[in-house]
Amino acid sequence: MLEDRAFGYLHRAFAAIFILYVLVPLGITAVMAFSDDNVIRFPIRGFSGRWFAQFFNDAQWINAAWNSLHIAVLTAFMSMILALPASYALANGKKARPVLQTLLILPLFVPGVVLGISVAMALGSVSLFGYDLFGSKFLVACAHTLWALPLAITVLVPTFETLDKSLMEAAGDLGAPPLKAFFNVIMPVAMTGIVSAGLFAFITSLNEFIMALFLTTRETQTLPVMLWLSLRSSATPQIAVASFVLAASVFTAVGLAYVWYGLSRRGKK
Amino acid sequence: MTVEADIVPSRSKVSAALPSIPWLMLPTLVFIVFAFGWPLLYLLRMSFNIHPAQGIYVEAWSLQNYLVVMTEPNMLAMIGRTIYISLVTATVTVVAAFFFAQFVWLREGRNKVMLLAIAIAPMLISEVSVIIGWRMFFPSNGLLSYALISTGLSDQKVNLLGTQIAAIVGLSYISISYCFFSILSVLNGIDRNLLTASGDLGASPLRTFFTVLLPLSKGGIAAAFTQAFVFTMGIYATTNALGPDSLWTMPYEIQLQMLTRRNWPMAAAISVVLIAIIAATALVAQWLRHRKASSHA
Repeated sequence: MLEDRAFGYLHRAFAAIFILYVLVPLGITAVMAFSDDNVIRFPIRGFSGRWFAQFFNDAQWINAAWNSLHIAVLTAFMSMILALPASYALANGKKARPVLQTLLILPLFVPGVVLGISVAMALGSVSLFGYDLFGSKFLVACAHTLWALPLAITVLVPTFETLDKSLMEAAGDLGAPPLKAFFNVIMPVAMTGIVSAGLFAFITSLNEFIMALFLTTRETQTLPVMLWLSLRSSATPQIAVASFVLAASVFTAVGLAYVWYGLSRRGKK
Repeated sequence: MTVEADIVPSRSKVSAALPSIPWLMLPTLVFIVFAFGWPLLYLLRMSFNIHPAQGIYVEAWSLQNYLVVMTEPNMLAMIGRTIYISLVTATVTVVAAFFFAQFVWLREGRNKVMLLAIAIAPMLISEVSVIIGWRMFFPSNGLLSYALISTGLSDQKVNLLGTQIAAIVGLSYISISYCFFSILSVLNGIDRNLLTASGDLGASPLRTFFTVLLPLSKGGIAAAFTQAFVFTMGIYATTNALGPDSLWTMPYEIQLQMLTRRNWPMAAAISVVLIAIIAATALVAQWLRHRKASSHA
């Protein structure tokens, strides 16, 4: 029994270290963002919001933040347009399913640097209707969709699988055209899965910077790309502020989804 | 791109609302071919081209690039280093993820939800933010050094930035959530009473761990290890920004050839080799799992 208790304490100590390990990069960024110092160093000599003020007045950082948001919304939108019908088909089809699902998951296992250079080489010189793909937000969103789509499908297929198959049939028997049946009957029931899938796609795109590094120009640069490029040149707490803003946007998106989930559950009761 | 327009009611009136399956897959398949298949084929083709002294590439069917990657000592050392750092990272990550997953598995209620939220956090943070966070922790004017001095554990500043330890800490942060959830899902399938039974029958905690828990969770551990290894093989930003300059890995060389040297064929050839190593790892892992599954049956 004594031995049991000793292992219990050891396990607790380990868990404490693990939690510390997860929280250190987050906490350190949040604290440093409010430092009043001119350089990043510990101990912090005073706190102020001046680096935030500087961040929000810097046209280049703000432009990068907007680019990130545009690309992330576009990625979420494209992933959903593709993933909704595909997941519905995968959930209802049986024959080719394992092969197709494996094929769709593949891009997740290809390193970002490889996807980035492949897309840049193959599609970088293409123009559609006189519009150059290279450096466009659309191309970055396409590259991000390669990772966002498998994640969305992984969330959506189980969601559609658990739906009652007779729902669609009943809607059809009552005379609803397929599209209407899907939007009015299936979508509301599967909304939790759909929101989670969209959230995954959005976050994946917001955080990604290796593919974006190869596909953006100075004008379309995203926030994490700009962070990466200024990593070595900037020693001021400015970079902590930018990193804080990026992480805060992700947590805000997750928080909003969580609030929506809570509200919609209460609405049902 | 309105996808639902492709839904053609083709069968009897009863199944009018059931869309025909292949049409629904079509947009996704077109997208995958356009944005994934075609670029990868292009990459493969590019790897056989030649890089001239002036310019980017000349079309050719040459094995020159592969010969360089597979025979030059520098390149071989680089491939070895990439595999080495990925193996070390995967091992550290899986061990840490396992003990934390086991810890969470044994808890209940509100505490468990908190612990799960902590475990999911690394998945939500951008790699670049992870790098920036650890770059404020490891250098001589960072938090670690300050903490060591103010607690009296060290009497001079400590710098760990640019060491393998910093690189491994950063790299493992990136795949730890995925490993954690792979292992937790396997643990959730194990009956906790087995551990109690083993203890009641007189086995020590260590013995229970090695003869009961570990064998039962082998599958999840293997999956987590493969995942961490594959992820780490493709990362260069963290390795480069936290590790020593000598830790020169394949993804780093790819971006260097692509952006700095403008040698597209070489960047492509290294990429193909990298994908081949990742694919081989995944296939071996798959094969091991199947063999184990069939031997149990």
